[in-house]
Amino acid sequence: MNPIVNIIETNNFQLVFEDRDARVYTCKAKGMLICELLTEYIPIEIFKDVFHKISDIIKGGGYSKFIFDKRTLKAFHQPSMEWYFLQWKNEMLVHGLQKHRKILPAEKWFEKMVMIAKEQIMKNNPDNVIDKLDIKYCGSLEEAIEV
Amino acid sequence: MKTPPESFLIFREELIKARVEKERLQKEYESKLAEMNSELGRLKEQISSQQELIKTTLEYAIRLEENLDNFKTEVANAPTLKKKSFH
Repeated sequence: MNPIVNIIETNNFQLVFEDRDARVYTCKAKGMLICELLTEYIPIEIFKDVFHKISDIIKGGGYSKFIFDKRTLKAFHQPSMEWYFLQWKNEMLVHGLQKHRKILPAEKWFEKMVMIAKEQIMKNNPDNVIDKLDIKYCGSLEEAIEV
Repeated sequence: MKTPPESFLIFREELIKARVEKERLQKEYESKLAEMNSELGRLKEQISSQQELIKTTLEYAIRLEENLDNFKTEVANAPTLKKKSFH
């Protein structure tokens, strides 16, 4: 069995939707959502569309933790990340989503890019909500569910 | 009215089938073309994103280089200052 599927089933997550670029699982009892990206690159419009669908679930209430598994990504798209970081997280905080767990690709350059972009975003947008969020980078899905 | 010959009827039937097949192929071609264009658009966006990524990385490297140069200058000037303060 696929290890991710195994972890998902063991932790009682339900697949809510799936398309070419992403799979979204939820576990209302744990108040958690998982977004697992499936492709190397996601055009910004599709990225936003996936996150709007996730927003609809979060707005239903009862979710406080979001796990974003972006291990398949091979290209970093800064405008998508900016939108996700500044608008989406801000909007979702109002609906109780405060914990963010991220799983990055294993490549070190990607991690560095994320850090550079984050630094730039924070510098250019001092009114961001990062200090109100609990953000952690994790090495695996199990760790992200656990911490 | 005289009934058309059987060969004409067969020909007419074949012509209709050919037209239907042509329309099907046309639709299939258009759908594949649209799919390919969409895929092309996606790849173009990916390339542009990767170019942007290279730009950001280089800007970051240039900034680091400048910081390193400034630091080297500071280190080079430091002993002189220290010496001056002692004597």
